[in-house]
Amino acid sequence: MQVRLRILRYDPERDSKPHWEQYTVECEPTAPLLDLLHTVKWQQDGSLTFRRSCAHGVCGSDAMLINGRNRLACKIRVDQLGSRISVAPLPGLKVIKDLVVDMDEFFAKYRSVQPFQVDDGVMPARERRQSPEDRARYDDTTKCILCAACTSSCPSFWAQDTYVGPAAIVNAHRFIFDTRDAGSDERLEILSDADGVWRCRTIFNCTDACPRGINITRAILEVSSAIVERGI
Amino acid sequence: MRRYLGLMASYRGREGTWAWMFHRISGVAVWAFVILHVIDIYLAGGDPHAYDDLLAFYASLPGRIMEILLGAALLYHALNGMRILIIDLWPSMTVHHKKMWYGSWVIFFALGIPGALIIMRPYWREPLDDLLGGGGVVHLGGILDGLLRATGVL
Repeated sequence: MQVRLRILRYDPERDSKPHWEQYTVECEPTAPLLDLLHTVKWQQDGSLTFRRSCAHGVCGSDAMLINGRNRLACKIRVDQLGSRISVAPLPGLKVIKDLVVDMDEFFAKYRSVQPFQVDDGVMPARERRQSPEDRARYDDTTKCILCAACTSSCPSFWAQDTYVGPAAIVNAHRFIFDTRDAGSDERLEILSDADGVWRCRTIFNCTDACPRGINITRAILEVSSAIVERGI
Repeated sequence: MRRYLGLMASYRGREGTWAWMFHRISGVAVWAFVILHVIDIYLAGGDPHAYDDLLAFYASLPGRIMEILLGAALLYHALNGMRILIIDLWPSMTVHHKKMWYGSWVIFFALGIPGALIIMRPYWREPLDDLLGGGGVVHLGGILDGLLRATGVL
């Protein structure tokens, strides 16, 4: 089939502002959008710039605004999008070039919630065991691939870019509800800040955008509840 | 602000986005009507003639349309507020948020349509009967009126 592909292009060395460019690409209906971007880059315009790595929905590097919604270019197929497709960089993030956005702030916020297991200082004689039920408590939030589709789809983040964002809260949730972790209160303290969980307006854009199907809004609300219940 | 509106316009949100946008719009509308109410109550003591004029405006067609819009804003804000409250208190309900939003619209119209009919009664009761048989053959206005009385909403 033939697809009319519109891409929002921006080269900071040549352009004063982003502009749309159109390409016509032949492809199979089952082709992932990433294949079309490759076709454009390899056969039509080598200057097109975008990130991709694994191309199988695991690394999270090719999240972009596709037909008005954040998705992974490697996971979404042409037959799910139609013959007219628009592609733009993730909204709300600074564009470096074409579809590449600056992820530094995003990862700084991720690191700010201490996304690692905090030791209680007592070295156990054997491994820290956990029941299947306790493991299931945070199973959903272990799936995050840090693609930024959620954070950059959030109107609260667009309005206030100091908001820590859904992705950081998801990764905090993964450790807050882990029975082996000793740093939950400190994480909850960080997230009870004005730029923490309270900026969530239950809009559900993050949950709809997540390519891993994580119920992000639920995770945020569970963290909010934990802050209230633990009196932080 | 311009950047924010541009982002809002370029992103195709789903039910959650629409629910939130209507919530904000209805919230601002209710606030504006509260301000108007403060002004008209002030006029009752400050300038009774102006207050009478304002009441006459409320009873007119534009005034009644404003009243319907106020009712709609209040009703939507209250119903969606309940939806948000339920989701906030029971995070597991997040999986049902779309169904709850559609459900709130069902309640919105079930309560809103009879309410709007009551507010607009002077404008449809007689004209409707005149239109459908000149008051002799089909009394649709009377039937609607009776229905509202029978169901206890009038």
